[in-house]
Amino acid sequence: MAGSGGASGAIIAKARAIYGKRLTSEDYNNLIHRGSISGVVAYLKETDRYRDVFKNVNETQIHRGQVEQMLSKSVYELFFRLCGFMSADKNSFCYYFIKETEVKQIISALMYIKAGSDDGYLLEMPAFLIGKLSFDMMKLSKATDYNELLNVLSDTSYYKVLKPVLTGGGDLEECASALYAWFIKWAFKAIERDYGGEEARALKEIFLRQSDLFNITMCYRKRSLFDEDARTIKKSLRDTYYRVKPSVIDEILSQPDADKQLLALLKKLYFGNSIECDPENLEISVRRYNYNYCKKQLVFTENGTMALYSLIGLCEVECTNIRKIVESARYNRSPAETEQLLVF
Amino acid sequence: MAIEKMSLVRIEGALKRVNKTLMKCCASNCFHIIASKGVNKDAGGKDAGIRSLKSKSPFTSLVNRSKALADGLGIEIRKVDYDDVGMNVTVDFDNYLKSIENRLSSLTERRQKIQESLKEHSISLMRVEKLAGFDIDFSEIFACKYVKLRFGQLPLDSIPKLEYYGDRNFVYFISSEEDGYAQLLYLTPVSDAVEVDSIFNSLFFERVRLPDYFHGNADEAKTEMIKLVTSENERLEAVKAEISALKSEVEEELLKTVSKLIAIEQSYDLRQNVSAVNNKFYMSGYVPKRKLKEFISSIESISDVRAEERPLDSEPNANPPVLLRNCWLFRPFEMFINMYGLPNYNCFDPTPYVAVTYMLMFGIMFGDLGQGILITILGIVLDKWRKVKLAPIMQRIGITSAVFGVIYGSVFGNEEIIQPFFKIPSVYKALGFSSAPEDIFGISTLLILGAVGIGVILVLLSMVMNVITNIRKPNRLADAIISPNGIVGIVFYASVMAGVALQMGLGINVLTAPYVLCLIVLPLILLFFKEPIVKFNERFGKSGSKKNNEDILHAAKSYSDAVSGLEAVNDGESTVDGLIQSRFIKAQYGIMEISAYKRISGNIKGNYVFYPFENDEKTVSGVFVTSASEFSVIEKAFSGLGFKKMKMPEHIIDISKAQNLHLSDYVSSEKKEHKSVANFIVEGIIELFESCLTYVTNTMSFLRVGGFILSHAGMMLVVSILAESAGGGAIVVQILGNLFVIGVEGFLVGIQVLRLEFYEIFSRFYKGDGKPFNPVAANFSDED
Repeated sequence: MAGSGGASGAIIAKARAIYGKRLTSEDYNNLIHRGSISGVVAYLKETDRYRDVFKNVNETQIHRGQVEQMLSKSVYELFFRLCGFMSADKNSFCYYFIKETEVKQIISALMYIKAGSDDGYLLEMPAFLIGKLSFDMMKLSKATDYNELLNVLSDTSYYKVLKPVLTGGGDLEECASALYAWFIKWAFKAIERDYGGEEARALKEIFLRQSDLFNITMCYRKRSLFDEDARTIKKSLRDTYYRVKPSVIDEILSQPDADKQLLALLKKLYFGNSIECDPENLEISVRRYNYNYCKKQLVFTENGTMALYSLIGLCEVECTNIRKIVESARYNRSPAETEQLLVF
Repeated sequence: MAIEKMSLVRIEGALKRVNKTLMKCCASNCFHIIASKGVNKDAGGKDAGIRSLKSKSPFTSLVNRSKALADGLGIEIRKVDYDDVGMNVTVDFDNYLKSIENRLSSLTERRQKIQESLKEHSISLMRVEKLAGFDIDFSEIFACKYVKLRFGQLPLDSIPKLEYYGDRNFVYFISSEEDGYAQLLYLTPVSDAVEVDSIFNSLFFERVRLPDYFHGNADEAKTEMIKLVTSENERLEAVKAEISALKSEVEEELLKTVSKLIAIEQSYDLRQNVSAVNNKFYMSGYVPKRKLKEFISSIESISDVRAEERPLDSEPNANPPVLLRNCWLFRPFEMFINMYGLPNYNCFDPTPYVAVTYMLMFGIMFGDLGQGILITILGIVLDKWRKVKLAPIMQRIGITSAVFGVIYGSVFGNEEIIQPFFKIPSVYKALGFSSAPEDIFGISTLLILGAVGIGVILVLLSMVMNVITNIRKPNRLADAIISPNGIVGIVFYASVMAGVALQMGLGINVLTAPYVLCLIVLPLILLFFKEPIVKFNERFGKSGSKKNNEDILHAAKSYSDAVSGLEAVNDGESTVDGLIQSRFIKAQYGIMEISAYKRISGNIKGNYVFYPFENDEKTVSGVFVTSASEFSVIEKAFSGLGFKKMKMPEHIIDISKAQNLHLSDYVSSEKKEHKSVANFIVEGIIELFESCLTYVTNTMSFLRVGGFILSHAGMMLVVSILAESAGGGAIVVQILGNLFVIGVEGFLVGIQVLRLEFYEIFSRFYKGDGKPFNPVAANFSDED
């Protein structure tokens, strides 16, 4: 079994050790009672997981955006560190994280261009990734319209994906949908190249599940919040289906009580009885599902890539929790309210 | 080697001498004060003027000031002799403290200013160090009118983003890059400052403000700052030296003053234990008998103050405190007695018994000459070096361990240097072996049986001590005779053990029918019928009845007893026999005229006590308590004086509750319970079964004594095997192995022996209900 090799074992052991340093419920309880960004950072400086991340930071002057960037950077640094242990023949898929980041960055740039914000993307741009992506991030930040953006991406696969959508007058959602469709195809190809059998199936399932979750929640939001029609909704969905087939979505969207049926479907197929399906905070329920899924995978997997994926997923959930806490400190949310937003 | 004999001392004197007296008491370190009973009223119904002294100390602020002063000067407060301190009143102390405070405050003020300045300069130095490489004159920059300069640090990740703003009106210089940040300086025209500042802020620029006294370029400014910091440091050291000189000058006198102030303050705290009437004060307390003369003469050296010894039972609720006094050999083992609870003053001190059995059992269980000597040496070192409480015990048990090591022939686990006892021909033959056993495991059965034998002896000794203790106490004869730990229990336990030992060990058949019937069955029957036998004796035994009656009356002659006992009166009937099982006391609450009250002692004869509770100008309300046999006579006599029976008012009960006094402390408070025959049989069987089970478990518990002998030998065998297999490192393995055995097994044996003491031995005779002797003393700790 490919996954049981030495490199894979090393990654699994390291991933589990790193997960062992995660923030505990006691840490979260202390953090939500800090009441200020400086207090949160000062506390994080004392934890095993974030000591090194914030060690040179002057917590009295730190900005919320800087905290968020440092958290993101810590996840990327962790990813690159663990990728170093991946054997050369499994290298292509493990860069799924970078590919996904590229897709997210392009969508972010498109969004700011659409909004007409000059330096919006620049300020949000993770500068620590400059030189690590397949396109020039600084040039992307200077792009003020779609053509300039396409020029920046001209030497990449994304150009072929975006060109027909943007020239055909497609909107941001269609661009995102196309980019993710391309990303999933890329991931499947990489998985088929690097793995086989059960390992390949398990890795593909990750993306299929994510795609399903995205499609159901997107349908629910658009139907319940914006009351959009089925045709408009389907344009923003990802073109990858797993348990929820397009015909099922069509049928549900044609019903007057589609929102309720979508929630029931989500509960039946994924959440079960272990996760509360809260229509008010569906994002948190999905995050909780992802957290549980990644935790289970990390505990039971014998595949290094799966361990890496699961760890990164768990770290991202943890970073999101900290972002929520920082946000709460800024907007003076009560500890009880903040606690509702956390997943651990 | 016993409980220190106590004397009850009553001190009285002029009220103005109370503080001096209390200070003397503190200084004597041998006076255990009894709390004052508080306000009382006289028999005539008027306030007798007795009050507790609870005045607030005027010295508190002075004590705090003197402590703060000592702290400021770095003087550690300790108790010193203050006899030659002439200051007595607050003004004297105040002036003295002020004189030092003024000198110290000017010095501390100077020190604080220098420290603040030093802190500021150090920060500036740190900042200027980060500017290294900037060849710009700061004076010129500060003088710029149209250009704004900002210095600070920018995350390295934000540096590439500055390229985006290349068309904006600012220039920046990076002096250094470290720890993820670039030390950076940017300049911008005043007109663009707001926009540029906003850009840098959005890139997470952390601005550092430079002091305007920077001159020259960065290097020159740094040199200047270093000079400034050095000069400030020198000034700081000079001030510290001055403070140190002041400390040397005043330390001795200040310590005496603080000691005296603390002693005075403490005496004020103790005033609440003193009663006062008009201009006289009264207090009582316990003093060890052997220090009595010295104490009395010390107290009487104060004019207008008198101290006298009183009988121990003259104090209500007399319960003298306990101070253990043992010889040097047994003294360290007092720690174990304190852990369990001190003995009652009227009981005996079990320390010698514990000391002997503890040393003996530890020695038996951990017998090794080398390791025993090591434990003793460790005990000596820990005692001298760290004053560890357990260290003196280690010294003693180490010696017994060494002695038994000689008997076992074990020196650091080696059994070849000294001949073990079981290899001596006369010994092993006496033990029934034809040849010498190879090692101690060869006599393991004998060791186990020996351990049980030790257990039987110790359990029997504990039971004998229980008998002696109960015989010495009033009304405890039943516990001494018919109880599982009394004479009957001893007969039963000893007979069973002797029977088993003789029958199974030596093959002598002693368990004959008369033996079993007389020595085993009869004691069990007596134990089963203990309760009816005791009741029968109480009811019809003349001497018992009389003694009980006297005891109860004696008890009732305490004010608190009566108050507590009267709780029952409120239930409607006038007797307290519902409350107490013995039915020997009766009491009646009521009211009578003052004139009649004054005639009580003249008109009513007999064993009774009358306690007045309340009065007004004409009447006195109170209660009389008497024996049940005399109640009708006494009641008639009181009626003759116009005593009107009444229901007990609620607030009188509240008094008894507030004082937390219980008649049950003196007289058994078990409610009279009418048991059915079935109940009696079931309870009797369960109690009997429990007693027999306790005999078995207590005895079996001593198996661990033999078990640990074998365990020790086993562990040392392992160490020897490991050492042999280690080749050249044998000596290292031996050393580490021995240290491990001493550390782990020594510790375990120590705990196990203590467990045997507390559970198997103490549970049979000892009740740690004594209260410790706490002499009044000035408290020098900061806890208060």
